[in-house]
Amino acid sequence: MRSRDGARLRRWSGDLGGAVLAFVLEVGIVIGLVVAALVVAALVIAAT
Amino acid sequence: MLIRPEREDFRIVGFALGRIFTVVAAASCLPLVWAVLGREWHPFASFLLMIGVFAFLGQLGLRYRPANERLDWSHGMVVVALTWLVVPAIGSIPFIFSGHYGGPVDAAFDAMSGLSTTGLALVQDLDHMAPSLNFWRHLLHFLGGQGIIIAALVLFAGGGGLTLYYGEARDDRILPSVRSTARFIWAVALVHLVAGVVVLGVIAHQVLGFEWKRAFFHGLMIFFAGFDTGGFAPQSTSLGYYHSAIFEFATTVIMVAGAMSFGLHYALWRGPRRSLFKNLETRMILATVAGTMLLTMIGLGVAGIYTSVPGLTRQGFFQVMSAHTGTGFATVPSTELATWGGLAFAGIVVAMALGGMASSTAGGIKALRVGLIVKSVVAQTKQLLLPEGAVVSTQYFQSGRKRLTPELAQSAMTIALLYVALFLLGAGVALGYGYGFQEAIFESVSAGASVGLSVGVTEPAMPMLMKLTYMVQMWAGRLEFVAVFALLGFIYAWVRGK
Repeated sequence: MRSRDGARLRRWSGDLGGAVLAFVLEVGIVIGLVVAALVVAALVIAAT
Repeated sequence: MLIRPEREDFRIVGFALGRIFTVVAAASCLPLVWAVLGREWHPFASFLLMIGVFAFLGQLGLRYRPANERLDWSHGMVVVALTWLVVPAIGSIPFIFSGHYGGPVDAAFDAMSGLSTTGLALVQDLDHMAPSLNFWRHLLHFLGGQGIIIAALVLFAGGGGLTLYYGEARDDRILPSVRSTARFIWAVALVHLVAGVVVLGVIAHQVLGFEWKRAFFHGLMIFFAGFDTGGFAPQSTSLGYYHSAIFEFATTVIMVAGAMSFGLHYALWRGPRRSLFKNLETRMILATVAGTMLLTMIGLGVAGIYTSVPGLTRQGFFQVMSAHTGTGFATVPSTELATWGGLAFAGIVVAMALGGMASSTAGGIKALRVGLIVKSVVAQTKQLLLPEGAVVSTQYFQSGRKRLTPELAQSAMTIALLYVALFLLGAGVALGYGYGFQEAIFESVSAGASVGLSVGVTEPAMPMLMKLTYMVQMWAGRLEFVAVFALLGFIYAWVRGK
């Protein structure tokens, strides 16, 4: 019983770590896209 | 020769529908509680009526238990197609009695738009709608995006649950059992719900100056519509209401999370995490987002609509992300969006048509299919250039390394072609009513790809046939055709079969 609870706890903590990593990555993807959009916008404005 | 469905077939379908309607009746209690807490007695009565109808139909289906409950492929598809027709019809009851709609068709349009996570709306005077009704509109997004049937599977997966899962346009089973996959999908949604609502609520309170209750109400509504790539908003001016770049940024993160496949969420949560970057869909969607953003920004720059770097970045970026993820939030009014001609128009329409990832809450052709089609074209070109008899084997990565078979490529192309046909259908009807080509194609792609961006065509005064056409587009587009064809075949077999 105790080992089963331990395994569940490990899985939950693993999931929590994964979820935090997922959030960081999602934010990172959007920051990357914003930076790319800024560069494109600057080039477009400069060219037009 | 088609075999006419027997009474037992109807019992199997009815029993499965009974289970699903019972789950929907339970979910519909949430806006009822909201109405009680807000002392909104008029919506309360209409929610009670709606729950009663769902519960009655649920019990009716469960009353006639079939000898064998196991759903085969065609039963499952018919159940899915009917669920996605009946739930919006009954779910529109509170809208019909709200006084915010021109009639039952307008109310059903919004319910279908909500459930299919499209976001086109015929609601009138949205800014004065009772919060419980607004909550119901957005909850429809959540139920539809996560999948009503996924909800039912969590509670009671019986035999044949897999066919229901695939019928709701999900391609990959993440875990060995459908039930555990369904649980994982809901776990991802609930974790994002808590984080998303807290972030949006805090921004609304600290930056926008909303009082706490109002801040979290808006946070919850925008989360439902953003994560489930829906596009309804609590205010008629959509995300433009908030006039906040940080709020738009946080919403974009939520839209991106919603447009990611649950297979990728699984890889991030439980590994292997490197598969994210090897994934065909990840590479494809980054390429198409970059391409459509470039197209849109060049178009806006050339047209001189935005003359500053921050202005062009903010409007171009947000609208492309909203279109590509299939969400449909807008930070510019539909009248202004209608002036985005040329390349900017093309960029947004292509982004809407391509959509998000397979097995996500987004609509459209999907990045996986686009990737498979591109790989298939490359393989066939290689084949032409190589000596006769040479064999070209193409592989791709999606939840593991897989071989691109001719059947898979053909299936991707067929669905993509059906989407194009669906887009042309809606555009053709609008053209028939005298709308311009640009606005006809924009609105049709928006409806068929479950996006919700509008250039002003969708309004209460538009012709009835266009409302019905867009509803069919939303239904067929969300279910990715297979379940719809199965239902039509089932009806045909019932009428003409032997």
